[in-house]
Amino acid sequence: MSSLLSYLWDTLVYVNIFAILALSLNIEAGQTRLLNFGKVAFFAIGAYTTALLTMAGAPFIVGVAGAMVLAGVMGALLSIPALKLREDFLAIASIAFGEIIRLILLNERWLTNGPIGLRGIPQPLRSGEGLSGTLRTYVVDGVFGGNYEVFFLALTLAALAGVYLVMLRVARSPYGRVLKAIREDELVALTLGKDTFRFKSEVLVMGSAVAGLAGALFAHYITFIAPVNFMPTVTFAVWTMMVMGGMGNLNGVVLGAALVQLFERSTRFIKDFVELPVDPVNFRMVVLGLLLIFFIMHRPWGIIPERPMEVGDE
Amino acid sequence: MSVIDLPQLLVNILITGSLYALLAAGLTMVYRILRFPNFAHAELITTGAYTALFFTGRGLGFLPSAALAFLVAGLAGVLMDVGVFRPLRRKGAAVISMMVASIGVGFVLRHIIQEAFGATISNYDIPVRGYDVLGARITSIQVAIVVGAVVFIVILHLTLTRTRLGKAMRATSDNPSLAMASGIPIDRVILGVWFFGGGVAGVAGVLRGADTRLVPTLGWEVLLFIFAVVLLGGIGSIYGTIIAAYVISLVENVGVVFLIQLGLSASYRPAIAFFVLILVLLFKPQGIMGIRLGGERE
Amino acid sequence: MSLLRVEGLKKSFGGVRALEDVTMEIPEGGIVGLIGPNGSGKSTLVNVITGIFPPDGGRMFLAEQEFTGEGAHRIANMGVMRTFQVPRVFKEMSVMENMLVSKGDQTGEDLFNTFFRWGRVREEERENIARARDILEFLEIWHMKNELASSLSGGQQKLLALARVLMAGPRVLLLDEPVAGVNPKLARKIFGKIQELREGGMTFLIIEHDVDILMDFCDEIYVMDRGRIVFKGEPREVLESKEVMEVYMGG
Ligand SMILES: Nc1ncnc2c1ncn2[C@@H]1O[C@H](COP(=O)(O)OP(=O)(O)OP(=O)(O)O)[C@@H](O)[C@H]1O
Ligand SMILES: [Mg+2]
Repeated sequence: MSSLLSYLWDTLVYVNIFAILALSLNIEAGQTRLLNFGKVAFFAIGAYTTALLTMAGAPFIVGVAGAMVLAGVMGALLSIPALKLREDFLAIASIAFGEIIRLILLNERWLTNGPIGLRGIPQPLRSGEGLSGTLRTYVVDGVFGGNYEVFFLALTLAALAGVYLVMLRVARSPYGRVLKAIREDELVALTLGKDTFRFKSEVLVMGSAVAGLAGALFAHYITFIAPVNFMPTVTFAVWTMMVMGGMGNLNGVVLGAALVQLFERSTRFIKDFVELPVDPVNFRMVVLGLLLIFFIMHRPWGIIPERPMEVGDE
Repeated sequence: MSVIDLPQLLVNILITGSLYALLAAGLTMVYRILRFPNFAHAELITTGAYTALFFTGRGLGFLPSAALAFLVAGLAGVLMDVGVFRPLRRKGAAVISMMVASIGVGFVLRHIIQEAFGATISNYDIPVRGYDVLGARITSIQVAIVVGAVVFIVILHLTLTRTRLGKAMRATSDNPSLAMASGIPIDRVILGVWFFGGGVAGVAGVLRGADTRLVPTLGWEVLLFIFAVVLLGGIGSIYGTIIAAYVISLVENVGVVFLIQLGLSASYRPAIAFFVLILVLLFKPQGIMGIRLGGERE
Repeated sequence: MSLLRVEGLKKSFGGVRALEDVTMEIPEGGIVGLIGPNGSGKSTLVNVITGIFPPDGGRMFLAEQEFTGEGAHRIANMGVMRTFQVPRVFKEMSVMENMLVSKGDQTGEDLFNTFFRWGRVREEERENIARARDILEFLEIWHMKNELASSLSGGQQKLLALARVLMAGPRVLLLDEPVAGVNPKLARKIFGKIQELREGGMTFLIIEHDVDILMDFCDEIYVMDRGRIVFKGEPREVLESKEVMEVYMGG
């Protein structure tokens, strides 16, 4: 029973982290049509940055902030190819960017420990003296009855809620409307006087910083990261979440993240109990691929389509 | 630090360039006609490589197996179009939908291959001989790569310039609606491009697999190099692509020497091509011989 | 004094010379018509003036201030705006969203303001909705306000494209066949509105195939043929001009 519960908490933490990641892709690809196929790179940058910072003794908050800042700066870098109007070029450049980041993770052993990765990433309020110790007593022990897993779940949920609210405000603002216009017809947006390059760079910075946040939470959750955690399959899964849920619709994207994660976690879970006729990883990827194709072909608006704003008669 | 082995460097440039030309040809043709980068091109390459593994493993010779690889990869290309891209085209789907769908198609194929053959490394069970040519070392497979590229270039040139199919292909890629209006059966031409492009990619996959090893990510590993070649060559320009293949090969092979002298790991080799890719996108997006695509035409 | 002036504009696409030495002056508060056979370069001229293509040669001025080589959004922000021959509405946005996005200089187009000056943003939004309503009611598409632009008919999309650019409030408006496909009664009404806007100080260049309607509303008409201006004069002179006859009849 308790292992079942802990399986549930674990799944929900993944849902939250990947919902954040999917929302970060949504503002880029769903709202602005910036086809970022290198999303995993920013997730990785966030994870490694916070890991290195906190392993060197920095507090959790500083690690997470560092992760977001560095990922955001990298997003600004990626926005340079986005200067061009062609959407396919950014797609290709972003894949290249993702692969370069992975090469760096693999090769710069002095920093990243190469293919072996980083172990023992500290968790927030897990141990420690002073302020952290006091907080642990009040929060983890007090509020969550000493159940660290539930505490971490609440932490990721709070992060997701924050990201969701920020994204919601953007989506409902004139700013978000310009993003939609860029998505629909960038040239027309230009001729209406919108500095589309500014918007696109800001979106890539924002999207990347949020992906960095997701990566940071991921690192602190699993406490052990290596380049194999940051394969292109992550990007692919996040794309499936967004397309399936409904590009441009925040609730849809969160739902998509939840469905894909539930599916992914349950195939991991099941394989511990039954002998599967196929390799679960292959099974998962083929199913996700087919889902992605199905939705693009037959329901490109996803499970919950984007809705335009409504105005009344008065 | 060893002195640069010039003959070997030149031979390596020739080999890699020839392979890139073969790997990239189908991608650039489809990109030009259908206006989207087909990310599943990687898996056409892998499909070819594993088709040959399947047949050589059952005692068929290497050459017949490579021929079957052409067929199977070509058919895989045709199936992709019929099953996914053509329906999307008919619905008037945007470039983005095609791209995302192609990512999905690629993942499905890659993991089907991985399920069938396992994620571990395989090799063709064929004898590989080495030769010394003017002080450089070259294997029989590498000779096949170079010969294959030359044969391919000649066939392609003749097809494009001498046959009706070639003319129809060029007309279709220049202006699909005009081609349609002048009675060219563009659906068949498009299928022809998928078959031919997929087939060549499949054979290139066999050669790449024979030269290195087979893994389900074989195609994915080279995909970005191929994109560098395609973009540098100018999307859809066959001759540009061939030139670009050797240029990228040169930059890469020379770049590796610099990497090592800079004290960086030689495993950054892919980064050289990616760097070229990004420079091309920034400064010469129409490539060395390409025509600007799409554009702002109403 | 001319508000918009272009001098010796040239533009070719590969071998096609779409503009050869085009010089044109549009007086402040004027309505200038531009006609010419298909492919004569009219749309290209608008594309070059609005910065979509850089010219191969020539110079462009707004109120004697040169803007050759400026980016498209800069030119738009100087007040030179346009519609497209094909409506190009934002399809997956509602009619109202199409309108609102068009307004320039919105407080809410800035991320900081989006989070920290929301009150101001909301207030502006209300004003803009009211403004959009006036325009949409005039063009008779107010009842479609909450529909996706993709669900509008071709003619309605044309109207929306016009409404959208009016929402932005340009100084000079270049209209590329604004009433093609719109019913004749509404077309006349639109031209009436254009005249009204001109009295308010707006300046127009209008590409239109319907010469009759141009005759009634324009101060001056230019005729283009194969990338060149072959005639410039008052509307009544157009039909009498030998050059124009040659362009249209001579083939
Ligand atoms: N983006 C482009 N790329 C290549 N050629 C172009 C482009 N835009 C226009 N042209 C060519 O330039 C010439 C002028 O075209 P343009 O569209 O300006 O004519 P137009 O006077 O607007 O015609 P219409 O009355 O049919 O709208 C044509 O030969 C056209 O094919
Ligand atoms: Mg025109």
